[in-house]
Amino acid sequence: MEVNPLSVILVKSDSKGDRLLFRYPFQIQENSEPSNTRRKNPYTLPIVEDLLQSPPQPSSNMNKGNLTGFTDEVLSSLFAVKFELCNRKFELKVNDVRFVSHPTLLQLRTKQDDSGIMLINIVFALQALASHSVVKCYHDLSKRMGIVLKHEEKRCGYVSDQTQLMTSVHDDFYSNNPGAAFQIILEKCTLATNIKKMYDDLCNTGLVNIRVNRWIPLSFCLPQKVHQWHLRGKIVEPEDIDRMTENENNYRQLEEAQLSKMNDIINLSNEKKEEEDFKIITYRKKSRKPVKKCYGENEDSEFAIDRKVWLYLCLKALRPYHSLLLLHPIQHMNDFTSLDGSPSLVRMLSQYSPLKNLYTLAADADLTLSHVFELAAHLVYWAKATVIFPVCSTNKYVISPNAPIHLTSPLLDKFCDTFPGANLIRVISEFSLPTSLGQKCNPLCHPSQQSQLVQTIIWMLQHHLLLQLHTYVQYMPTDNGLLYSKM
Amino acid sequence: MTYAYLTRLINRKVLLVPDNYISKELFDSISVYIITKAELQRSTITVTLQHYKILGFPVRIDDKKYARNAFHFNLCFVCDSDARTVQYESVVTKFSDYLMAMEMESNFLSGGKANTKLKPILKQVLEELNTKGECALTEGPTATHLKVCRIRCDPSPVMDHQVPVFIKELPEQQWDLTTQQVTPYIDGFNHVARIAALSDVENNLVKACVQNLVYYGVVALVPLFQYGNVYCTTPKLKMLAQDLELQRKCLHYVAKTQRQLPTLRDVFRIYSAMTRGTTMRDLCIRFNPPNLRINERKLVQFGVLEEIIRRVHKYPVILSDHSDLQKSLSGSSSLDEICCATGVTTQHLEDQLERDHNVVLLWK
Repeated sequence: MEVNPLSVILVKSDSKGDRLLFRYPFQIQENSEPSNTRRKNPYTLPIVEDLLQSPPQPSSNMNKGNLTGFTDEVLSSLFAVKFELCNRKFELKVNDVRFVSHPTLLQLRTKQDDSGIMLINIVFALQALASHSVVKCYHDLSKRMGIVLKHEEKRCGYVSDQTQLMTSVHDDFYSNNPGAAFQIILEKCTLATNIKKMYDDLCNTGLVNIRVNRWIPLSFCLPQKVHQWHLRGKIVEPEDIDRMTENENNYRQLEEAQLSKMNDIINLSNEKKEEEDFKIITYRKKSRKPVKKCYGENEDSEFAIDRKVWLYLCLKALRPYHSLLLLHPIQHMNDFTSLDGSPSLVRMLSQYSPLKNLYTLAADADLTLSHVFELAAHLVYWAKATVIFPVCSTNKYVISPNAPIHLTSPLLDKFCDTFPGANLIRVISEFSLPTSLGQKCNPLCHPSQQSQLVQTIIWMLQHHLLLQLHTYVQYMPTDNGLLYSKM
Repeated sequence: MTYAYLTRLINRKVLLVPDNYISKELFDSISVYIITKAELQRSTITVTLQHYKILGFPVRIDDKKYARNAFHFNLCFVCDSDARTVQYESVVTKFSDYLMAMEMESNFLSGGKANTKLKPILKQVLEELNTKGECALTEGPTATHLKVCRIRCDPSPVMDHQVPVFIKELPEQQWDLTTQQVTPYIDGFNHVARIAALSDVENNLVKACVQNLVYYGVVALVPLFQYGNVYCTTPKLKMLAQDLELQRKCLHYVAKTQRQLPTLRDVFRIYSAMTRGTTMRDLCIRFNPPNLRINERKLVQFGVLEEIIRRVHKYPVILSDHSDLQKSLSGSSSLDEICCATGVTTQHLEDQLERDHNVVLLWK
């Protein structure tokens, strides 16, 4: 998984020199099997001419998802960057590992002169394959962490305390076992605990939620991981980012591409009446749930998404007739809406229902529609919600082509827990052919059954197992398509 | 944009082509990544700065004849900071090895003639790589050839039931024996297992060969065509109604004969009738494509290649506790894969599965 970090490294550099203070993970499992199983034939003669011409094996600094081959001294010398490179993006690639960080300069609280300037660098080691947008996100995280540390140092000298603690542990343990020093640091220093939590969060969910010095909350979302873009195996080219972020004009181009896709979603059937005289061909077209479209991860285009652009696209794609579908039970949202969060978000969530469209939701929550759009885009970015068409009896659903349904899938048990006695495979198999809610209900069935049916559909939509089909009308007046094709 | 420069690290002499492209201050700030510690010798190191990306490969030659028993040098390419440089890594490595060989043979770098002899070479490499993408160096006793190759993603493994289709002419060159034997049977309708049987080549060799052709973008893989198959449209279908170039290409591709092309409306109508639950057989009965001057197999092939349509696969899942069947009917392999592996016809297998109430077919 190329979005996961290999390692997180903390390096400081001040008037006393540079030092690697902490890195996580620090326990490297020993390679049990011998690395070179193929024994060299002792009778082979080295061919002298070949030594220079044959390409040597490309060296690797990765071993089972861990960083190897660098001593702490090498790492600290690499990341204690010169002042010219501070306070901007730092990117270094060595063999197949890419390091990214935002070296931050801070003024120590105790020494208010030039000797009190310290460089603190939180470096993420990634696989070199990681796409440009992933690298950008990690840089952003490192930058945020730097800002938090700078503030905490100014407020209460947090960084000088922590670095001193770490340095003293290193000095004590240096002689016997340097590996043990990291363990002690992890137990003693809250900054090290934060780094560990950050690493674990990034590997598990992609949502980082830590509180630095038990005071400043730092939350971060790695969209590629949260939305599992990496599972689709596409690599984003840097040109795509340039194309998007260069200027407003390019925004517009992109927007056109998006809007043309959004038109796919808009049901054009109301145009039918005006054009009845002409030959009209109707067809059913597969379309993903609209919000997926605004990720730009649709088949024909793959955009790297930077947060600003992403929110812009999401806002452009939203329509008043869409509705919001939370991916987690509403009770879990309390963690997300922190104490100083926007009160309008709380207000909107109190009126939330997947059966309401955004327009009704805005009216019920007494918010403006554009603000509801912003809140929805925000929730979608943080993978708390997705956007669907309001569930109603005429919506046609089919199984999504990349639904991970097989006998060993963990979703089967999860479904069983939510709906006891029901089997996901049996339930979803009814959507092999396009099926609407109305078709599945009959007047004889009990209202409770019907509500359970709606609940199962919502559950499957939350897990992206279903997609909705729409009917489109294509106007084709002549044998050769539209009239302008003749001109 | 590539700029080559070379550092000789014994007395920190830097040779730049073009002259003074990198300022001294900038060089000092990044010298730690160019004049590296011993552990980082012979690793490709790329450092990204605000405006530049510098890709280097530090080398050390140990020999008693040098002042400090070793000679260090690092050949770097400098590119724009937003350029991709992965493709240059092997070039830098090879060029460094070439310089290393020259140095060991004739003290090419340490002999003090660097400015007069090395500079033209660097200039040549820089210019030719930028213009032609390749460069031949014949200076001295050894010759070397540098070429920038685009790095593409690895193609996914080829399966037995997939069908290779040529999407462009096979380049005229000396292909290996397997490819020569296999390519005559790639006609867009034979699947991999069948090609292996027809060409009398071992199955895995055919797969490797097809995978290689996929890597070079000569061949694309499409699902097997059968009249019982179900296809559905994708959002790209709209392009067919709008894009004149695509329309022209499509009509030529799907026509039964090139003399009389089918009409776009007929083609579009058949595509738009492809929905879940409608097999190709049903469509053929409904539209009678030969009458409309359409070759239905070509129609499907074009649709799949242009992603106008998509195959709807069927995944059988068994719900009873048959441990031997649970492996094959787990829902992760499609009907095609099972048929190809067991050698049963789709029709027969589908009939069998339909009779078993414990088996559920998922269409996706």
